Amino acid sequence: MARFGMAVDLDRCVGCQACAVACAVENEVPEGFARRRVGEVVAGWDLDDLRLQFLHMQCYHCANPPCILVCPTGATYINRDGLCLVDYNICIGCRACVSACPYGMRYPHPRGFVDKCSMCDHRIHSDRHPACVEACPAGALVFGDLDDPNSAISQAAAAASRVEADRPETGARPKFLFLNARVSPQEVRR
Amino acid sequence: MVSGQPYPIKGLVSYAVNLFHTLPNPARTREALERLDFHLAIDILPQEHTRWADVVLPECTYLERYDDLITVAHKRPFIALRQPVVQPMHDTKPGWWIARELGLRLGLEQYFPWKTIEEYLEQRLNSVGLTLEEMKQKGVSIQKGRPYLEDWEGRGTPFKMTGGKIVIYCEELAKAGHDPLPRYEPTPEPPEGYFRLIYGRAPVHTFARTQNNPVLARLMADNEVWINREAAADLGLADGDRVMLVNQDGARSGPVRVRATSRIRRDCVYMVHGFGHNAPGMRRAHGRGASDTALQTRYAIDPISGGAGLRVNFVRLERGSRTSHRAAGRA
Amino acid sequence: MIELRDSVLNTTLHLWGWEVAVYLFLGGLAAGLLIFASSAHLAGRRREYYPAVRAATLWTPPIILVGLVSLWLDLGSKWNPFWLYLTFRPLSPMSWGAWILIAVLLTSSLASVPAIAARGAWPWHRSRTALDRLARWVGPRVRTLSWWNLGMGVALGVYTGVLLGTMVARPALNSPLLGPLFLVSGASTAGALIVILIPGGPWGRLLTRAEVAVKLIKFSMLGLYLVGLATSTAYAQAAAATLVAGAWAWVFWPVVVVAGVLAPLGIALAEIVTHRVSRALALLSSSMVLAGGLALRIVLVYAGQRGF
Repeated sequence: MARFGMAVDLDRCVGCQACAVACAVENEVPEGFARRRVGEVVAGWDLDDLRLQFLHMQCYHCANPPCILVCPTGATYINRDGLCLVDYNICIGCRACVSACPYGMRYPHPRGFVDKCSMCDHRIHSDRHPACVEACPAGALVFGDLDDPNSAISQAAAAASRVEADRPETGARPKFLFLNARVSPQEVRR
Repeated sequence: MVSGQPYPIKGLVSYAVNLFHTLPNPARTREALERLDFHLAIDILPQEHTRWADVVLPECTYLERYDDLITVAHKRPFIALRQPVVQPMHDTKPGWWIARELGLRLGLEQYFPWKTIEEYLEQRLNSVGLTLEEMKQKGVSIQKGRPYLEDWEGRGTPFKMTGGKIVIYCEELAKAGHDPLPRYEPTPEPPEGYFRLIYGRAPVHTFARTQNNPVLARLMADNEVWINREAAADLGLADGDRVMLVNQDGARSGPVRVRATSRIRRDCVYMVHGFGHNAPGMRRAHGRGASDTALQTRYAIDPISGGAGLRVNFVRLERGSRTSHRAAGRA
Repeated sequence: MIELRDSVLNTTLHLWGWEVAVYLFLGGLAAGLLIFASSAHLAGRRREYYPAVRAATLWTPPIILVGLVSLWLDLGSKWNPFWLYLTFRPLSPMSWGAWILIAVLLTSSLASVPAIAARGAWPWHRSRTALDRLARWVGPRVRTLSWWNLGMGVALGVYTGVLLGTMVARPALNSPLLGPLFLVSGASTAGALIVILIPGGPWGRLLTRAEVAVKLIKFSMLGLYLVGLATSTAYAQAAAATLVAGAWAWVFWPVVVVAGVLAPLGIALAEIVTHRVSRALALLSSSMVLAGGLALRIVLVYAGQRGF
């Protein structure tokens, strides 16, 4: 039992997209889709007051995910580690969950089921990090158990000056933390 | 090569280089290639310059071959081994094989006393007490010893100091007849309607050689021309519009998408280097975006170091067909 | 000022296509037919309206079946839908829909058994006895069945709108008005189909009067729906703009609003005022209602999928 989550320290991220490449290769994500994306945000008006931020987009593995409610077969479920996963054998490909995700993090896989970030569930049980975390050259991505105060993610969150989640008003309670954001995720999607 | 001075160059072997995206003024590069009697290109991709070659020897990629040892001696010296993890997919050969076979045919046997690369690597590794088998497992071996570059950490600075200040005034330069304290000399400003063309890199791509990689191409398939938001509005251009870039000498490149942004001054436009490939064999990269190199028909030479300054070209934006805001995201 | 750059382009995915629109249309149509036939039974008007009631009863199951096939065509995994029936997810409209559809298919088929038997044209002689036996069993239970089917008709009609409403991240579809709107629209398409199938008869007048009421309700709901969007978030406003002034405006105004609501309303009012029934005009009006009903769903499915 754990409550796995991920965090990105935006003081460290340089937007190199190595995480997105590692994710696409590790999970054989078909061309034209992504489980993980890194966008770029520029806030401000003049050269003097511009703030640049990288926006990390992947399934946030919400504690109260709307995608689960709309699934008619129970293919989307939360496992004992708090990860929101899709059972491809039960998914009928109705895509209700894709439209229900308030963050737009799911996609219909050309092979018929709906796919999204699995937090590399196939890796983390053999003491390996998710592919994106392992690939990050800056150590900006942190993965771990949010319930364990000694985990890398809890430590990183404790050390950060700002800890935010994307649009908490959705009520989905994401388990993906944005640390030290200069442009907060709230500001981005006004 | 073009002038035949100080001596004529008859032949060229190009390896691990993309001539038309590395050197400014491709028209002159083309002229130089036309004067060669013989051009051999060794490459892993059907890039532009390979189409100008008399013979192309296709090399296999870095995941399909051994290479010479990587020996780095910066702060912590190390030896790294590059080894094949998959068999070559096509009829391609490793660089070492090509070099050795060419050498044997040219009667240079004495430079290739080994038969296989494994033998060569084993010999080199044995000299520092390692074996190839060991390196195949470890990949990297951290070494002790003095770094190749001086490590100044905790030992002052490498600079000449006077009274606690770093000395910038350079007597060697003065002796050589140069300005001992180089002064800033303004470069020409862009004429009316033109912008200074500056260029740089994106972390996704390496030089001009990864644009055809399928995984990287889907993250960044083409480049954009960055232009100040207000300058774009003055020109009636919107984010996502397609334009051709035309430089002061009439060189053209594009079409390329406009990125109207606050992140750049009004008098410059910026592009990520490495796009605008014109090689049909590179199916993903061909015709995508614009090439900064193609627009660099002029360059300035630094009289002291001989370094080339390429940011002395000016371009104007010529409106092309309108396209959707594909990269404008979800806002 | 925010500049946003996304590296991959799948944020406004187009998820649902014509299959879903056709299914929503047929579902609404079947719901309307069920409501018409069941209420005729319950109101004791079965004999009076018999040809129309019979047509409605007979047409409902095949329409639901075609709708189901259309929905199935839309699914990504064609072999997995049996999982729908191995579970029930009370908070998933899709799950409700799967169960409602199968239940409604069964009970509407059951309700059509006496009509099939009475027709005397059953081609398979061996099963004739079984059919008659079933008809005899259904006969005394028609009233109960009608109550049930009335409820199921309403549920089915509302559900087709709620289904779109589950697209939480699609503001144009995230309106509670869609359920009632689709129910009303389904009812009016059902009336139109009956007029086309069995023109004339005493039900014609009833349907004309019902038409006026239903169209007025539909018109005001459509208006309220748009007002609701226009007074909501910027995303919803953008969605409303797509409908009334964007890429789909050329379908929305002429087909959905004029052909689907205003023109039939005018024709029905004219009929009531002048007491003159023109068969050609009634056919035209009904065809327009059907086209408008289908267009409403197509427009909402396509234009409504603007994400945010």
